[in-house]
Amino acid sequence: MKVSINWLKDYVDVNCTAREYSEQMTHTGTKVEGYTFLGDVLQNIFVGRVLEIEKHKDSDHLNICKVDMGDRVLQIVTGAQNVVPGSLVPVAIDGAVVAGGIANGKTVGKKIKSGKLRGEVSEGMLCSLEELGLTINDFSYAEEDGIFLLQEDCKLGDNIKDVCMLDDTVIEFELTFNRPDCLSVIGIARETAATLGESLRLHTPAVPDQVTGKIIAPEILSVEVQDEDLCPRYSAAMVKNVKIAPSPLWLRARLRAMGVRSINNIVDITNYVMLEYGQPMHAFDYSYIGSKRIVVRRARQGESITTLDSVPHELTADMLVIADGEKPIALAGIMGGENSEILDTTATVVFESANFNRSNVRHTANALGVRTESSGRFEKGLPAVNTMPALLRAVELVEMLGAGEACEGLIDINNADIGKRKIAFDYKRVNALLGTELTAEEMATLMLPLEMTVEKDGDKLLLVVPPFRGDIEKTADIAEEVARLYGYDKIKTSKFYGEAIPGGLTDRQKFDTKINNTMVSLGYTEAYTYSFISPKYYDLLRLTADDKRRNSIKLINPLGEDTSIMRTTAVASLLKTVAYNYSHRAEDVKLFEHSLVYIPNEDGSHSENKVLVAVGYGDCDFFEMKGVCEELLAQFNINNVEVMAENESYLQPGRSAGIYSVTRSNTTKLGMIGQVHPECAKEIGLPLNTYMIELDCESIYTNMPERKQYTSLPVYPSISRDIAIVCDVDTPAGDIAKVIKESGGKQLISVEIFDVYQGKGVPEGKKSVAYSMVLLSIEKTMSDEDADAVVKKVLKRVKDKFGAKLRS
Amino acid sequence: MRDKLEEILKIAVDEIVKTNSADELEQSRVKYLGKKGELTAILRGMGALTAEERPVIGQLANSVREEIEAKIAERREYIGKIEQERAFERDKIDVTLPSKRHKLGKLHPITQTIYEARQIFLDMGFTVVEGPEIELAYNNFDALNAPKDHPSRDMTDTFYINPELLLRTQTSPVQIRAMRGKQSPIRIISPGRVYRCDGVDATHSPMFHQLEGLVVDKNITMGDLKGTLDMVAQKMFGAGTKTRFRPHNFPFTEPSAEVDVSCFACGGSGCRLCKGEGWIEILGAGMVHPNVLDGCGIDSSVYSGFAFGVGMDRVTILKNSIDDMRLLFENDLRFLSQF
Repeated sequence: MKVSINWLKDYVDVNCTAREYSEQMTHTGTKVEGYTFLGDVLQNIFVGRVLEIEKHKDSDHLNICKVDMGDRVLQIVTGAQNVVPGSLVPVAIDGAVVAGGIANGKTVGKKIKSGKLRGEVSEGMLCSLEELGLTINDFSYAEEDGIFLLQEDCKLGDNIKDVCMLDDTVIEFELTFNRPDCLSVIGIARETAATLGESLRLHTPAVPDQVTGKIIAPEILSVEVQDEDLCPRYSAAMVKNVKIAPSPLWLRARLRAMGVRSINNIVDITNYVMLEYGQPMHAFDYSYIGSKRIVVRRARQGESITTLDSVPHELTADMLVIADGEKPIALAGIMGGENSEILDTTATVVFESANFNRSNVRHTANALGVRTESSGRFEKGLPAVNTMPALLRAVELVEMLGAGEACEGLIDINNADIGKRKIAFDYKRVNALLGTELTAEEMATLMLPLEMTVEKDGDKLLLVVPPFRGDIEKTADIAEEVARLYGYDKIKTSKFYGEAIPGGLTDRQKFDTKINNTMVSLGYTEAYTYSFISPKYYDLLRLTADDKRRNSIKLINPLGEDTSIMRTTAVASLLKTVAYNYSHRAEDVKLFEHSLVYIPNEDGSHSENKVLVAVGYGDCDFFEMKGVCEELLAQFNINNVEVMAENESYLQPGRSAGIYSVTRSNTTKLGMIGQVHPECAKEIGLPLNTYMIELDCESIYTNMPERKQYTSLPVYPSISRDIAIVCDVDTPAGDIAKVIKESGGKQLISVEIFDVYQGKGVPEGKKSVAYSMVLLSIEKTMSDEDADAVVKKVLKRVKDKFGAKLRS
Repeated sequence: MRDKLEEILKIAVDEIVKTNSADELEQSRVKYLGKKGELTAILRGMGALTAEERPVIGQLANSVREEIEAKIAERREYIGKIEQERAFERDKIDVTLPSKRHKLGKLHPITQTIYEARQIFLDMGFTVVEGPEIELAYNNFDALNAPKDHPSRDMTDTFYINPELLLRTQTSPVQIRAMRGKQSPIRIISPGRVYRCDGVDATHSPMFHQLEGLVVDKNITMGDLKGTLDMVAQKMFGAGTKTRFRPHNFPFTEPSAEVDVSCFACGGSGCRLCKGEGWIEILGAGMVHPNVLDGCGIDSSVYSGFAFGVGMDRVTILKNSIDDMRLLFENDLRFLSQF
């Protein structure tokens, strides 16, 4: 919220620079976002009077003016046509700076120098509104396209900043949700007083005697509040003999400083009071209030209203309206209706100053898409105590401006509690929370400027809280008030101590960390992709229509379709990421993502499971990937890994496999490995030789052997035997290796495939696979005979099982 | 014979000192000392000598052999050195040629930030607690004392699955899960992913990362919060780092604070990173609201606590001078490999 320092000074003294003020306010909790000096670019522009005008000899459109500056007369050449002898004008003299447009939200200055225009000396420039950084809203009598002919009360030589009231500083505050009372000049003044140690000068509106202490006669105006829950308080006053006119300069200048456009005196008064008191107001043209009745009620289904901005709205029964005897004339707390707005012809005005339910205003404003200064304030929850002071202030301003005369009486229908509250004040607990050692008196002194006082109740203390501070409920709230006024920086830092607790990472957290670190050491770089994806990602993976992975948790308010469902697989996201790098001409890519997938369960609950996806191309092939997979699993002591041919929609058939952990008791699928299906690669924009693995980390974690088992180191030397076996081309070499391992018994400690050969010397349809076996006995040094016996046994089993023979 | 021996010695020594390789030296050795060598030949002729001459000549012959052997040994050592030097010269490499690297990958910069921050707290005896990303609205808002009308609950701010279920907007609901039914003391941190309805631009992402911290015990004060965050800031941003606490408002803490750290780029004198302020806003913190404690079954009149939340993405961006948040989720290897 923007606040004018000049306005603030009506209520409190501010005797420091804007910067110092901003810092101090921020440190007591009223955060300053920034500040601007109005008219700060303008320099050396003074009031002058045009004495005489003559045509420029060498120009059709230029005039030469003699301008009386009070102490001297200047010759100024101007192209403007609206000046006449006697005009009072702003004159930018030699060396002056005028407003030269707006860049990055700030007015830029433009320097003016004496010079010659077509041979004639010009000692400055006559200024338009624009050159003063102003608009027609600030001075409605001015001509938009001509020189600004001043109609203000001023003398020759007066500085234009003073004449136009441009000498102000505007502070922009960022207010927190719990302090709606600060959405006003008075609220900020109160915080300012508490912060600077100054006293607050509150003002009691002076209104004619006939206004207060009486009720407006029902035959003139009656108010009925049907929905007290949505309108706890409704106050109204009337003014007559209204003369609609522009507001005086001082009022317009203040509105402008706080970012509000001037309309006319009556509307400006409602805005002025809203900014000053924080209480939104509305002005109705009395002549359009049907039946001279105001009814505060919920809209009837099917009712509609056209608001001041000429937008029609269909209303529903949960929206609160201000109606007359027949129809809605305003959206309560949001905007008035076109049917009762203030016009130039308005003679009698009804001022509304009411309190509306925050949720209802918010709901209606959201539903209709209308957000106003008023609704924004009501939504934050305003204190009902303010309606009457604000109303009286409006009446006072009407009289002060000569805009009309106050009518007899007021209306005030109040169902709200507007009294002071008393809460327990446990200053010891406040100290305990803050780590301070303040006395109750010291705390009371700190809070006094906030209009909070301490009372004794027997041996207990009570804090009396003003009605506009609904946020103060508990000791913790008091602690905050004390802390911020005492100064957060004065609270001494300390180190907490207490009972020892184990701390550290859980086994699962260590596991997760190790996955990441292992992948990095295997050459893969970690990627982060969004948890939400487009349903189209499942099409990219060629998942069938009934694939259960298509069953995803949906967002009801996604940013767009691209991020509308919670992914059940991270594969597509990472493939897209790899494709992004491919499109940027990366030669080798190795990326992994270790993140969550979100799986809906049948009972309506959901699971969040960690998965690992790794994708690579370039310096990467199936067996490199398989190696990555085995190395990773070996880090978790899963050494019995089997990779078995298996299809997956997004992997190329014949080049894809399931990854299994095999133990004596069970075989568990851990994931998939393979070359990305060429159709997926094409669709996503990947090179054809892209490979990937996908592992379910939950399965890895639950299948990890608990503890590493130490095997004693061999005492006797091992012996090795290489054999080449000829078998059918389609027989998986790994299957034979498995049989060799099984049939070799305890002495066969390892079998490795080291060569696969097809061609000369091997019959058509066959291949030769070479196996290297290592044999070892724990009892003695193995002899050649012992080794040969094992090989013989192995060969027999291989022949029986696969019809495969030793290559001769 | 004596003369002959002395001549052999002279000739042999002359030859040996002229040899330039192990092979030449060996040839000389064989020539003089080998079975068919010259010295051996002479010794063989000893039989013709008188009994008086034989021991004298024998002694002389032995001393000649020893002298030749010593010379050979000396020369061998010398040649060894020469040859090694030659080998060094031959095997010389151009060390400026490119390396053959076993390329390691990199952890994502946000993971690196999280691990770094996590370690600071682990060293202080904290426990890491994680919670679900799809969270109950109750845990994300109500249990954290967020007013029913708080704008953060709006559909324009929070992603909903249904009115009761949402994508958590903060890691704070993990606090609730950690506190509920737990006997104090509690000293936890909770790093994780959070979501808000922000369109993607240079400073916003609908998905980002926070690290939440919570301490609950008897006698925990705001001074303790300041002391703890001071220590953390110094570990995280360097030894001289200062913190500044400014009053703020969060529903789940009271009193609440926004915390700035002195700019780690300029040390507080003002620069582009801190926009001339000398301070960088880095986290939100405060004393746990009594409503939150009581709601979790912890008696707020006996226990107190502090909590704080730090944006890990923001810390990553600031510490690495990253100028566009989108880079964090584009996963361009040219970007990721820089960390």
